[in-house]
This record gives sequence, structure tokens and C-alpha cells, in this order.
Amino acid sequence: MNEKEKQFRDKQELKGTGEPTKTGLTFIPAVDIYENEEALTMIAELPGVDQEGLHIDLKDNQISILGEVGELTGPQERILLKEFETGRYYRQFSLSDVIDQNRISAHLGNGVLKVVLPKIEKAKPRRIEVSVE
Amino acid sequence: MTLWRWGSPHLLGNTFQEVERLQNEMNSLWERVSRTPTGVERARIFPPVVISEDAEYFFVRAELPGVETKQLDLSVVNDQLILRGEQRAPEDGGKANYHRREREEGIFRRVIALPFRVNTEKVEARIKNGMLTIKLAKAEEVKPKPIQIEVGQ
Repeated sequence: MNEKEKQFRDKQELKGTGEPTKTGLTFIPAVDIYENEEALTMIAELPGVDQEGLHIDLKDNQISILGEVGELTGPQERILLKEFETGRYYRQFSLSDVIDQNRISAHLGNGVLKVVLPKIEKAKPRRIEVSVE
Repeated sequence: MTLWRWGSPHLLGNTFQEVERLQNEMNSLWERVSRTPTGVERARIFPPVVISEDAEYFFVRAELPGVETKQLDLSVVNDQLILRGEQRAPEDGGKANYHRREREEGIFRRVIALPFRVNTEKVEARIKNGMLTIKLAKAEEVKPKPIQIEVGQ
């Protein structure tokens, strides 16, 4: 058996340089970014975020992800044990010029966001033939 | 704590005792604060949970992004809730090169001792947007009961 036990990690809180004007906590979501020949793919964990609460913005080669999370517990509930906090998620990345910004697509499912950033044609790797005299 | 009337002759004689009491209280407060910086208690086992109650139910919630119902195994034995499951590896086809890899995969097994009796027949669980909510009906004997007060004649 080659099973890895999932480790407990504290959620990382965003410590912004600007002064916050919104109340509540902001967390940095865990993100995977991988690249193949066709595209760059970004996967972010946003538990508790639904489609209405998700905002993806693209401005000046910066892509930002903002996920708003509603109240975890109902109004009649009394909390007995609290091992994690909830709050919004925010993260920003700068894109390189090889990304075709018009063809970016995003999908949210099961609290996981997948953003596909296709590369523009000329940035795809090409095999360069070397001729020998 | 002893209460002293203001201006009481004991007040001055008790000052040192009061200072010591204050010091002890500050120490224990500091201990509590430094152990749990955000007021969160930690069992440090994945997944972290939030447990709450209302008059009828107990709720256990956990953040499990990307975990599907079929990857999760829940059971209630006596007053223990057992949560087992798996968070799977990202689907990159094995050919991609990574810039960042912060998400983790792995299995998890956690036992949560419920501080109460539940009706094991009435347990509901669902995952919505990566958030697991388990709703456990309270056992009849732990539900709050209004007590009728008879008015004497």
C-alpha cells in the first residue's frame, strides 16, 4: 500500500499591504499551476464558494480570483467547536505574454476552480531543424 | 473572589493578595491566548471541523474541496463519528510541468468524539461546493424539554 496520509494545515491568511476596508477574514487558497504545450492550467481550492460568489478579473496581465463565502452556520446554531475559520479567498497572478487572453475559460465544481489559460500559437514549442553542412 | 466593601479597613491589607490574584489571572489568560492564537482549538488531524448545535440537531462541517460523495465514508458508532476519505491528485495527465503545487492529495481518517448522544438512524450528510455538512439528530433524552411550571393556588 502506497497511501499518503493527508496532513492538517492551517489556512493561510492574506496579509495585505493595503488597509482593509472590508470586515472579515481573507485567506490565500491553495493553488496548483501546471503547464503543457497547449495551455497553462490553474487549479484553486475554494471550499464554500458558489458561482455567484466567484469573481475572476483580468486586468493589465493580472488575473485575480476572489471567492466570497457565506455564513457557515445557520442563525439558530450555537458553535461548540471551531477548528477552522471561514472568510473570502483572494489570490492574484501575473500572466506572461504567451497567454491568449481572449480564450481563457474557467470551471467551478465541488469547491475547486479550474482556469485554463491557452497559449497563443507562436508560443507553442516548435522543433527547430538544424542543417549540417 | 472575596468582595470587600469600599473603604473597608481590610482593603489596604489585601492589596498584595489582589496583585497576586491579578498576576495569576493574567498568566492563565496569556497561556490560553498563546496556545490558540486565533481562538481556534486544534486537534491537528485532517480535516478540521466546526461543530454546532440547535435545538434538534448537531452539525459537523468540514472543508473538503474536490472530494466527491463516493470518496467519502462516514459512520456513527456509539458516540463517535468516523470520517474516512480520500482527496485525489490533480488530473494533469502526468505530462505537465508544475509552476506551483500547493494542493495535497492523500487519505484521511478521523474520529470525532461527539460530546452528546445522537439518534444513529437519523444522520444526513451532503457535500456542497466542497463543504461537507453532517446533520445528526439529537437523541430524545438530550433534546431541550420545556418544563411546565404549575401555578400553586
